[in-house]
Amino acid sequence: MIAKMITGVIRAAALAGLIAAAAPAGAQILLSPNGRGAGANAAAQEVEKLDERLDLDSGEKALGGALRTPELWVAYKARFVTESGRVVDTANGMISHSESQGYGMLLAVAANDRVAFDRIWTWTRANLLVRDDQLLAWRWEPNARPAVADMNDASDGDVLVAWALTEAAEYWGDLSYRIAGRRIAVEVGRKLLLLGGKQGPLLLPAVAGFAHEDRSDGPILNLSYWVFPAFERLPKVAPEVDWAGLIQSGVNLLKMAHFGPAGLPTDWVSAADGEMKPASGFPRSFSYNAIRIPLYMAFAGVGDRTDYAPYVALWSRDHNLAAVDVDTGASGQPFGEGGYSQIAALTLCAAQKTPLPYEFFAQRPSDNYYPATLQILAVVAAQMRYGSCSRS
Amino acid sequence: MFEKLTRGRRNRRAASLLLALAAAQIGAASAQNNVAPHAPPQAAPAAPIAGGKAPSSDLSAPANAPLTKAGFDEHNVDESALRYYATTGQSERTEAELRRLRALYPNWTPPENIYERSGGGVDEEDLWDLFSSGKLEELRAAIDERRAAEPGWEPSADLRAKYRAKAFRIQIVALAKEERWGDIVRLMKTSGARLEGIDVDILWTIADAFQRARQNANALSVYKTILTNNGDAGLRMATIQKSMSYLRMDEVEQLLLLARKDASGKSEFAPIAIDVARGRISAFLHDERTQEVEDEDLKTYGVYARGVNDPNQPALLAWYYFKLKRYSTALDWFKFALEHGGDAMVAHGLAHTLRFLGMKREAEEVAYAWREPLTNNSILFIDILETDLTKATPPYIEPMRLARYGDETTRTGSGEGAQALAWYAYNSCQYEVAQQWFERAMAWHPKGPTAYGYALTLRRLKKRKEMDEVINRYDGLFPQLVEILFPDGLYHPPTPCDLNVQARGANGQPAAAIAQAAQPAYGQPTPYGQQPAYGQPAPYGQPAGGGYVQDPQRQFAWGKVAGPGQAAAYGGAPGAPTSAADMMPKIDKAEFPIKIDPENPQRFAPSTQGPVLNAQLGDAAPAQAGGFGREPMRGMFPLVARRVPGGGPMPYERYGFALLPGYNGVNRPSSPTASEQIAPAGTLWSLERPNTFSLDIGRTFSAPPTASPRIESKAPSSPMLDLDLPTRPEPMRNG
Repeated sequence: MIAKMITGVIRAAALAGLIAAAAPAGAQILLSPNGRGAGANAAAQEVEKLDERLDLDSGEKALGGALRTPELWVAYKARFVTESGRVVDTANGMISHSESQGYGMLLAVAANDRVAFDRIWTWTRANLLVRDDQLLAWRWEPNARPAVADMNDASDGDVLVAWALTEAAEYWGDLSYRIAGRRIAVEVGRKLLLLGGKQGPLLLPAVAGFAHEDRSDGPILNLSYWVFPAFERLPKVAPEVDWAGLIQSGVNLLKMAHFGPAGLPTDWVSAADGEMKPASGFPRSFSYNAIRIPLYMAFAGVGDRTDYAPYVALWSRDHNLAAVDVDTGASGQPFGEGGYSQIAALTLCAAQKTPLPYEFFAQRPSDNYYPATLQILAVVAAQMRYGSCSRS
Repeated sequence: MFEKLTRGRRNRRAASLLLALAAAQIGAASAQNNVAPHAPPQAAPAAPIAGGKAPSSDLSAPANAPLTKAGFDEHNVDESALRYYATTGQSERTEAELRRLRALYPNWTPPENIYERSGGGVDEEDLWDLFSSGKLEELRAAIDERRAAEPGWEPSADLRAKYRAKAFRIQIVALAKEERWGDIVRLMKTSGARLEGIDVDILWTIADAFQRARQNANALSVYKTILTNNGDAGLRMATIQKSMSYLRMDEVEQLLLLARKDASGKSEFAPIAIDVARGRISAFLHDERTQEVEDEDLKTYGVYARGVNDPNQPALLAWYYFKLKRYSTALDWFKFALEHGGDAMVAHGLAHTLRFLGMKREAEEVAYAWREPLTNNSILFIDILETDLTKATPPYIEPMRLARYGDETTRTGSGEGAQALAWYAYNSCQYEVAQQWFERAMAWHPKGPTAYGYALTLRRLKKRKEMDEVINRYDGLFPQLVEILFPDGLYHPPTPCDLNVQARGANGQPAAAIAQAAQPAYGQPTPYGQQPAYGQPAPYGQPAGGGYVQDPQRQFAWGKVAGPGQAAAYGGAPGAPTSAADMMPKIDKAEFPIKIDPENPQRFAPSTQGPVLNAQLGDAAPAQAGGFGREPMRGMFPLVARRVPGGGPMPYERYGFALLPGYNGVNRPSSPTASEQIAPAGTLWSLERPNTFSLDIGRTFSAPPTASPRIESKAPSSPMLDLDLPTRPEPMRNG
């Protein structure tokens, strides 16, 4: 903290100097009575803005083999991945969804487990690729007739699976992964991106149900579907889709979605008329969906200090994640499972280089599928980009 | 490299013209009070520097330093503003300042060299030495020292200005070196610095920073400033070239308007006409420009593209004409580019062009030849032929082409290729091979039409149990598939394969006899030609109370259309006494509904991955250390299907059967279904026309094998009065 303040002073000084330096061309800077220049005040304000800069490494990074703590994956696979390649959401009626399958494929390629990757991918295509297009039915319930519960897709699941196939194609050099990943990615670009908006392309959460045609407050968006690290890698298979624009639009939209006293986005937002509001008919809370936003930002090295500020403020004192009511800023009951907290640890590491706690890498046998997944993703992100936060 | 401000010793001779800075400042201030409207800018008094020891870039005395009042005469007239205006080319202001000073100091004679930089203060030789050798820190120290030693002394305005300019330059260069573009932008905004008078190379850097911060309008202003104020031909050209690499072409066009022209009207930027043309063509391709590129540019660029040894140049023109849908011209350029070393993307463009020109056969060859280096071509190859393969009555396709299509399908694990071959085999009465392809299609992309075709194939092969499994597995999801067990009661004309069987049975003639007079066969052992000239409707598919009509030649059969109020013949319509239940076909309870594991067991590895992975998975093996988990939920399979959002009505609903509510409580069939979904406005999808595919993923529709006219017997879905909530609320995450 002290170091940061010193940096701030030096920056202020430098800026004051810069202001004077730029003056030969004729700028006038008035002196205020107390001897502090108005320019210096401006400089002080600038310091805050300057501090927004995080200089995160947003370079493209390959995921294949990036998990350096394979025991986490071994335990995960034994608990959540069936023999046939189904990734089970243990807290949610043992169902599967395109998201769980996509996460499973990503973790398998990060853990260099090709057998598991093939199991999960072949299960996914055999059971979720039931639509007439290249997108995945999002929800699958065991022992139901039929198992597919909804023919609609979920764009985060589509994106996760396409990203995992891309990583697998890059890592294992397999043509069939590349082609399958490309087909999904191109279909996302074709059917799910709303183009021509001021903020850049908008990612619909699904083909059906969320567009302006479907709801008067549409389009409804879910900002945690902006899987930033995926958008950095999908140009490898579908360069014609504006993934870079999608990264930028995500950053822009997040700046507009600081709701309530805590300045947090809700899980679901309405982007009608170019404005961002909590979507009606959905809980007005920052919850299980939106907690992934800082995870994906840090995973990709995207965002500056103001973009992380609400999450840093929320989690600086308390790593226990809970849903936050955006109207009051009050937190609800903590989610309770340890895996969630690792998003907080990763966020603080990315935004202010806070060292990762020892328990960051710990196995948590009682965690369910979702927090366990988020933990390993946070671990992979830290191992890929934030070596400086690891304790030696 | 453009150190125009760097000062040498020549400035020292002007030192005598200058007075102490303090006096000059006060003098200037007084003068300002007297001559109000056009007060000259001060030579920039500086803000105090916070933190004291920071890199200082101004040499002003502290704000509270005592100022010595000095007298004014012609020898201490402050000429700094005058020189500033003069050296920055502001002639009007220079003249105004001259008038002002003359009015104030009638005896004053303007110096002759105002357009040269003025020298330093009294005896500043040492300081200028430090300045010109770049020792700014030492210079700063020397000035402080001298201020202490000679109270009232201040460096000359000229030295201060030069010092600030140099410090500014150093700051910009340092920030640029660290790629702190945002800081450069902030600096320019907060300092209020004016662009005039800044070195061109620094201006380029500033423009670069603006562009990287996506502030193109500011970058454009910087370039405009350079072109407006700078006459150096080389710098001007370099400025345009830089702008072309950083700005959008419509912005560059604004700069091109600032070109100087010679007597004949030729632009100074004519030497880079090729680059300009390329920029315009690229802008059109990137939707940054809507109007077509002028013929003159295209001509210039065309000559260049033919002459240069770079296939990307003719390819650019090819894509330009492709985008304009001028496919013949595009074809020429794609061919030229490919013949001159063009890559797989050029081939991709060529294949699409051929396709749009109706030369599908050629397109197929090009896509196939270039399938290896670029996945787009593999996908395009699969999708081009898919259209023909899935026709209800497919055309003849040579065995060689079918074989290589099969190879590419298995190599890439293509669900699209597998279902296309499967349908082709099915529609040409090759059921065993059809089953093999359908199994792969079910493993790789088990969409509704594929499951339907698979079940039809199993029925043909009399594999009733396997067929029942498929139908029961997708009960509630794929209405067309379940309709196999619940025929719609309407007439469906026989397929050629039915007629084939019929002909064989009725006449004792081998099927080959029918094919003899027709086109060559499909390229597989069982040849089959065109539609037979006649035939009785097959028993299969014949309606309970149906009927059909035929043309006089009896070549085709169509379903008999019920007139208004005459639907009785087909059952269920108003006025028909027959109850729906009476129309219900007999269903063997051993067939439907039966308990079925809803998980699709089909698995096939692409041929590039070696043997079949784990086709037909059995029960889960025990989990081992480091192995997989056990399926937690096997068994207890229900007999009644539930609604699936996005699914249409199931065929048995017309006999009064109901489905359970869906997972989200929905209890009506969806309309539109997922397959009928209307493209949301704003997507690329919404811009597509039916029956075209703009991307290489191609169509996803597979023609059903009996694509004859159908009478819809189901009741039209009632319009949805209230909107269902989106069917993708987030999963419950109960900790």
